[in-house]
Amino acid sequence: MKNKVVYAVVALLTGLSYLSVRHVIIAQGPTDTHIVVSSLTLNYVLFALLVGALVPTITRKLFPKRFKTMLAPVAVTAGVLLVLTLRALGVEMRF
Amino acid sequence: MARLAKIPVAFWVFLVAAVYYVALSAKTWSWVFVSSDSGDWLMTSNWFVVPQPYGSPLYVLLMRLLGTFPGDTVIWATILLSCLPSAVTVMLVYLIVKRLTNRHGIASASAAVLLGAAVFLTQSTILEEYALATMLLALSFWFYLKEHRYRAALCWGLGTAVHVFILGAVLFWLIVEWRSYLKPLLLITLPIAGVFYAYILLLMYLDTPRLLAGGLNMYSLQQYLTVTGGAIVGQLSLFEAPKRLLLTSRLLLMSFGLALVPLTRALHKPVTKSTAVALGVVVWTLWYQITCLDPLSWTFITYASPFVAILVGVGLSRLSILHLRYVAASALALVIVNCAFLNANVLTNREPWATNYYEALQQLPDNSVVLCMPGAHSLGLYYAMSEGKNLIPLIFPYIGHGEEDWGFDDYRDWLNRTYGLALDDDFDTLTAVTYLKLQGYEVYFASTPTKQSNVRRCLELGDTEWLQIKRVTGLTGLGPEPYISKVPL
Repeated sequence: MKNKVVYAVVALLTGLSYLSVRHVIIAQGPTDTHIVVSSLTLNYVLFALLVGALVPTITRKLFPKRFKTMLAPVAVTAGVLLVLTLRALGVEMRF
Repeated sequence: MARLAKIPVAFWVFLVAAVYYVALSAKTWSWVFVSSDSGDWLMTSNWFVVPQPYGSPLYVLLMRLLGTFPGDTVIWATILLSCLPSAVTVMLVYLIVKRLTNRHGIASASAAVLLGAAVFLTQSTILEEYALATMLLALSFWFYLKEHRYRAALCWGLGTAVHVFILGAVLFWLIVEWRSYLKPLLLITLPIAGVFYAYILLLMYLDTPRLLAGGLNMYSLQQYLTVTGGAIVGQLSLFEAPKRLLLTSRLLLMSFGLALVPLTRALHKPVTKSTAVALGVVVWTLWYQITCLDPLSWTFITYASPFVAILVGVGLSRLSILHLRYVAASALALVIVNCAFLNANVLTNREPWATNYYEALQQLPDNSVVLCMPGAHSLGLYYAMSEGKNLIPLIFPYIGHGEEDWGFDDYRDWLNRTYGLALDDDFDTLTAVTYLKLQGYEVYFASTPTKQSNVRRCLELGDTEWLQIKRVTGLTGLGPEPYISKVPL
């Protein structure tokens, strides 16, 4: 029963997607008239997520016996290093 | 009947896919499915010339070869370099999944999933380079499974020579298999790709038309390599991210339908090395598409499509037959629906923008100046020129506009030398228009009438009988709109 519900929902989403995105595919050029450009790109966010995902692994490697206590300090250090790296790469940040 | 039964199933899979793609393919020059680059490829079938970055040397050499044969290059190139390679890819997906799961039904369903994949279909039925490069990537995966490392590396090299994007996929591949594949990469892939890309350098060195690149020097090379890639790759702003993620999700749903459900099962443990490699290619492709500033980058999902179909097969092998039935039914439904809604031939005949533009260009007086933006119209103009039409291309903003100067080095010199003009070094495009009109040249502006153009507001346009080409009667005094508006963050 659960499977049938999942497939039914995905089928519905497929139909909706097909109807809503077909015009983008069949177009003979860009359909977007305006695109916002910024030095704060999605790539930096993905980079931050990657660093965040690596924090537990790094902590486990560096402090195998004090993982729980050192997780937060390592995360903060990684965050600071990330911000410094992004600034060095030229990303303007305002907080 | 007994003879027919002896023919391998893989061949029938290829045949069905080939007939399907050829039937749906555009039979005339087309811009549907955002295939505006086709003008560039067609130009290379007539001329030895540097195409758009990053050169695609193997593809342009094949186009040049096709151009030497009699017959309609558009049809032959579409069939031989798009439809048939894609049919081979569908067959390879069948063979790969059969090898991974040892189940004929699942292999057939996976092949059907790829056949019904919308984005893959779009690039299989038009004149573009994606289908051939994807086939070589899928073929390398087949050789990888058979542990033919050097053959796989050969396919990487040839694939990279068709489209440089393949090299990125290979690097992701190496994250999993660097120990056994580093040597083949260094000995086979890079030298082969290097030899082909040397052809582009040779074209830059020779006295070829300077339409998309300058001569062979560091400045031109730097411009050629960064003017497009540096401006779009990984440059999507955070503000555009939600819209892009939504678009990607919808494209994946539209392409794979119910097959996305078993795909998730393929990622459950244990994850084999081959699954990790396939996943690496998908991740690389999706990263590119999601973070690329170019709104047309969705076409790159083509590269991920066979690997998604393979992962679907792996996922199905871990699920009950009920799932197989759902996925097969969904794939067949998409195959049929796509016949009606994504038929390149029907769509091209309904809105023949490319051929209408080509015919209008042919009717312009010889030695007319055609002003246009880079893209479909400039590449189409080059194609018409390569077919023998005598026109002068003035591409905005290839000559000086301050920070927005895209100026392919030598473009202005080439215009002056080839057409006997005297465009001064400090002329920008609009000054050049004024100068050329004073010199007695007819100047025309080419663009899609329904779309905004950065330079259009600078021009006073007269009436003509053509929809996409208007005579320039004067200048309005307004400056061109900036290319990009930056958010101050």
